[in-house]
Amino acid sequence: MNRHARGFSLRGRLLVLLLSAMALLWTATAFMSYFAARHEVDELFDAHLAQSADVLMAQVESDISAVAGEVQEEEHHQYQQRLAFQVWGHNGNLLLRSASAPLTPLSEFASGYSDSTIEGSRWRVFSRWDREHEQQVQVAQSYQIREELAGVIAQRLLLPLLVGLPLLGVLIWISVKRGLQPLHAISEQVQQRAAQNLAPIDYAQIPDEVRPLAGSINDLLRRLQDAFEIERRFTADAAHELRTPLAALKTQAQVAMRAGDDEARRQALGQVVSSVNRATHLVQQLLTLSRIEAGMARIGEQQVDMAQVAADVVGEIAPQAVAKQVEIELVKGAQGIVRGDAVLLRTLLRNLVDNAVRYTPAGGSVTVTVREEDGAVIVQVSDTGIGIAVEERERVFDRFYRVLGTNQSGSGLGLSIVKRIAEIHGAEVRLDSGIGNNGLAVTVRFS
Amino acid sequence: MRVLLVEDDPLLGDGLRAGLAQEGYTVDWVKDGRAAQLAMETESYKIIVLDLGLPRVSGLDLLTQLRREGNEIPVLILTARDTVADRVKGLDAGADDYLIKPFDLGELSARIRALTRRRTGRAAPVLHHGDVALDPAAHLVTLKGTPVELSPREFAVLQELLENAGTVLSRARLEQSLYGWNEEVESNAVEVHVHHLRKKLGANLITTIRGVGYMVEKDKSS
Repeated sequence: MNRHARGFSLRGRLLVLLLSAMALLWTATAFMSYFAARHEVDELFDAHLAQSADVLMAQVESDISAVAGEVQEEEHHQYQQRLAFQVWGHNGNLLLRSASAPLTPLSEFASGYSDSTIEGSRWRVFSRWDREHEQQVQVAQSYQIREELAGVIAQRLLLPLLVGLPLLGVLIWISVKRGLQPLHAISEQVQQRAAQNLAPIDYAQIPDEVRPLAGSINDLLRRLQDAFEIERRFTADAAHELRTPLAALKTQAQVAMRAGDDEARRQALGQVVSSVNRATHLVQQLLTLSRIEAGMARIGEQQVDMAQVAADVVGEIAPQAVAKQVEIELVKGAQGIVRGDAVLLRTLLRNLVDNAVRYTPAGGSVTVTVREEDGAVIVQVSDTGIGIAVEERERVFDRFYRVLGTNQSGSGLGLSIVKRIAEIHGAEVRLDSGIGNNGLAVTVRFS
Repeated sequence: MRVLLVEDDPLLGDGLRAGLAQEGYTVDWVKDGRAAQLAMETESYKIIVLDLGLPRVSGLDLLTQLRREGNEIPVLILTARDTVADRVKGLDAGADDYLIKPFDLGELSARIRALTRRRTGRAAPVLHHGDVALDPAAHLVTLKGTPVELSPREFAVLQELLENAGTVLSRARLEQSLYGWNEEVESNAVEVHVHHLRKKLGANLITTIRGVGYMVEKDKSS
């Protein structure tokens, strides 16, 4: 069995699904962390900004003249360029500014936080007045710092994902393989069986997830076993059933060989021919039944006129009946259209009529009726023959079951065939007493 | 020799009856176990040829019941089932021998002879009495080694008497072993057969016990 011929790999699917889920989750976590970090950074820096403004204000209040002008800073840190401050007089003159600050106000003269855009970049500004409302201090910080910081945090979070994802993939691949080991074991177990071994799969080693599948397989195995058993028994029965006609054939042939006079020989040879006819009939019936059982007989879906079929069958068997001095009659009460297979339906009716004639002694009669009742087509074959005892009526449908004391050597399969064909057509078969409470009436109801 | 044939199949039964009659047996043919039981109550048989696959009372049941009643009549079973288990079942139920269908008529006849011979306590197939020898298999009777021509019924009477040497056999008993159910018994038939046998084999072979029947004395030489 080529494993790759299957539609998809469970392992591949699990790998893709799990990795996608992991990547999605991780990315979402990184985003959330980025925004959370941004928020914290904002708070921290805002507080810092306010504190810087306070410190500056304290210095300015003590002595503004000492610090007036532009503060020449030394480069201490790369972020210094992104920090700026201004001190304004109440009449709008710039008293003091950092080198990084512009000559225009960083923001409107107000109190508190504000955002402004200076030379194309965004800044966070904190403004405040002194107590006398004479001097305005504005401290600003470029947003770039905050973004960079938050970005770095998010990056640090995403980086392990890039390295981790392939590693995770390998781990998942190995884990799934190990996880699916029991499945593999089952497939090995099934694959290594002999074709005749239809014992159910052992539940003990089966994981819960696979149990429904194993259950279905076991169910199938059981049905297969039943079918095989029926088949085996049928073959055995058939072989044994053929032994009796063969024994009769051989015995009669030997009687003919030893016969002292022509009359005895002719009689024995006649019996030889009868034996061959019977074996032939049995083989024919066996073939019919096995074809039906195997479902090989193509079940046609034609509209079959049962009245016509009955007329054909009665016509076919009439010579036999006449020779036996059995009166045969067809009563057509309706056309009786049945959906089904014409050949099988004919076989069904022929078996019934043949049986009726066979088991009806000279002087008796056989009546075939086709009629409709409540939309159902009913075909009935009744006779004045020996009938079947009530307690035997169920068993006569069994294969090779023969009614005793008939002197007739039937195949024992006729009614089995009738029943199977009826089942295929969803019809019911009922056995009752026949004409005048004598003999047998077989009713087939197609509904 | 009277044989009860229990066979439900009409063609096989007919063949067996004809074939066994050719071999000189008197055959009563019944078609089911119940009829076989009835037949055994009214007639006495040397052997039963029994098909195991019978309707009503199965062959096996019939056999088991027969043995339970202490009836030791030889039983040869005919069966379509050929597995060892089936054969063992038949033999264990009390069958003396079995044949699997289809069988040879000659073999059936030989096995019937072997079984009846054993039952009369003889292992040797040929019956001897003085100068007279009877070979059931070859259907041959010799007097001092010279073959003697006998009709099938004469042969049967002689065989019956020789097998029961030392016992007086009634006329009715001899008739019973000669004629089946459907055969008309000719009056004086047994007397006629005995008369012919005496003529062909010597007057001293068969003794008449007036009012009872006939017997062959136990052979002192054998």
